[in-house]
Amino acid sequence: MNRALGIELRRGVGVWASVPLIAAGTAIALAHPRDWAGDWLGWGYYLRIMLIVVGPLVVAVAAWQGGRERRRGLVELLDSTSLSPLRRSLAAYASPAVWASLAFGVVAAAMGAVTATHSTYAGPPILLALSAVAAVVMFAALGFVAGRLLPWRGTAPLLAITTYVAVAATAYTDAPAAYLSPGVQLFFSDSPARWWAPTTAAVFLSVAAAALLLLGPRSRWLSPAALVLAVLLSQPVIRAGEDAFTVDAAAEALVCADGSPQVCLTQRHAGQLPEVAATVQQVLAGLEVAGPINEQRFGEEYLREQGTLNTLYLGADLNGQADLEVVREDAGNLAVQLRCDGPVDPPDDDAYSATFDMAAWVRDRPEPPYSGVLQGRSEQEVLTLIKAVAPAAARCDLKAVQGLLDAP
Amino acid sequence: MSVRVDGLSLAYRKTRVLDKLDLSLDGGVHGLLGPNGAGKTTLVRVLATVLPPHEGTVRLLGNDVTNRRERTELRRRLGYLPQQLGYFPGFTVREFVEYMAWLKEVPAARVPAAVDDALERVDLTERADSRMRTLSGGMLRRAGIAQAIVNNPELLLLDEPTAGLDPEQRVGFRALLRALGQESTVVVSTHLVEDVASACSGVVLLDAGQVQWTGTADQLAAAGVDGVGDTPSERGYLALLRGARA
Repeated sequence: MNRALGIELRRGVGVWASVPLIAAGTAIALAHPRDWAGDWLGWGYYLRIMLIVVGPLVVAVAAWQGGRERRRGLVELLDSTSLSPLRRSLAAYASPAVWASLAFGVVAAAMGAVTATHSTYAGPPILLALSAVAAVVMFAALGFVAGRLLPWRGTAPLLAITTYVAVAATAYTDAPAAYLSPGVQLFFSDSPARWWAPTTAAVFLSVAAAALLLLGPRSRWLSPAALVLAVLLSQPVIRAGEDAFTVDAAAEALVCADGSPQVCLTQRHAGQLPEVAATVQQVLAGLEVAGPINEQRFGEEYLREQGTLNTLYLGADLNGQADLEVVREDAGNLAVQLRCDGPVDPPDDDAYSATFDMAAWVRDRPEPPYSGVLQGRSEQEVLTLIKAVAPAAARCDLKAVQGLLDAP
Repeated sequence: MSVRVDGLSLAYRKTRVLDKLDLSLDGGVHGLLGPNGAGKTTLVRVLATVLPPHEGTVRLLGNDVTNRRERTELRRRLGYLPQQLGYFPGFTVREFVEYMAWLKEVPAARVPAAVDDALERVDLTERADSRMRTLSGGMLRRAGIAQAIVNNPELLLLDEPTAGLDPEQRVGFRALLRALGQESTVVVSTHLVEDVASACSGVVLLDAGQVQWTGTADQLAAAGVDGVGDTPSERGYLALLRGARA
């Protein structure tokens, strides 16, 4: 078996397919580095997202390998041999399954190396990654068996398209069963329950086994049993649905920097706290007496326990780190912009745009003379105005803002 | 008896290809002769266990081909070269033969020596590491024979084995056939009467899905002294065929 397996791994389609699979995985990873490079949970979830494209490719490669014997006119010769069709099939299946898994692993490892340089919280969610690899194994099995049963040259591309559509379609359904599909968007701040990744991996492997068992005349009767096992294993995932994902309290715990105003980030991004805090404090320097800024802390946009905390949009650079330009802009906006729940009435449009001008001034600290609503004022007068306007803007009190602007 | 066939019938849809065929073969090299459509290839495929008989019984090396366990046991002792040899073009010749040895469940420890021996017997040792896709038609045929004999089969089935071989290779192949016939039962389906005359100890003439005549190569040559044909064997073949159809 080992020698035959070696031949299959050297000569099967898998070894060649691994190159485009790595290329596809790399391209997907580079398309959205902000989603995964910043923290390990994002990395784990993004491996699943990659399967939306990688999965159909694996299906196509495996289908091509599955149809190989009939395409090459070898069925009759192979059928005259004594080895069981299942063992024969497993050796041929190994090529796409092993190489696709390795290719996926290479991309995951490269992404992990990038994430490791930036993420300061926790470690890689290995079980999530293994679940994604189990899905690759499943895609390979489904493709291989389909290629065996439908040894037509068009089977591989047709299956790839069908799989892509089927997986992508799950993104548009809210059925709990869709949580088994990589097409479902997971919330990057929520962690799965401990049982979730191993259970999904077991479901994927059971489906793979059910498919492969169909290829042996004697093992065929076991296929429904494997399928039943997959259905049973999937029940906790289906029942739990979204509930399997909860906020990781430890990850969301706040870590605060010294200084005023106080800037806090979640533990997940604690490594970026010094530079984010310095940026916020630099932008808001001189505005210490402005009501809402002085009294409140700053944090990340998706914090659940906001309370009196100002939420700060961190953005993300290509490495998933906080984008300091975005932080500067958002800190300026927080200082003085109107915070209204609904749309602003047209008569108050002047007050609305005036707060924009003041936010831009806070952010950019331009040299006088100033333009717009700040025209003709000195730096000290602008600071005084902003400190006066800030509390009214925070209350969305447009009349008060307008009154302050109109005052001599 | 290596091959014992009783009342074998087989039809493709409504066309009966083998019609209550009886055949017994043991040891040596046996040539299956017959015109196109006589049922030679179908008979060889049944003997290779890739086609199940529709009627009748087929026992090979003492095993009933319709019994799964016996069929599996038989296949370990069987060598088969189909008329159209499929292959994996990316495999080397050695890998192809080695892979087939694995499929025939040759014990792992014996595989390297068995592969070397098979390649040497078909004179392909020098091309052992060439990819299958680079071989000429004759070499592919020899690679096909190598995979068929890699398990030292007790029953070797060769369907048109000399197709694509040049005269020198054909002469060498006949010598190989004779050598193989010393230790196993070899059934060669061919339309080349000269191959049968040179290499086969026994001859089976097939027509219309039935065995029309059996005998030795010498008896074949003697059967058509005054008939048409370029060689005694051809004359014998044609005379026997016409006699069967009369």
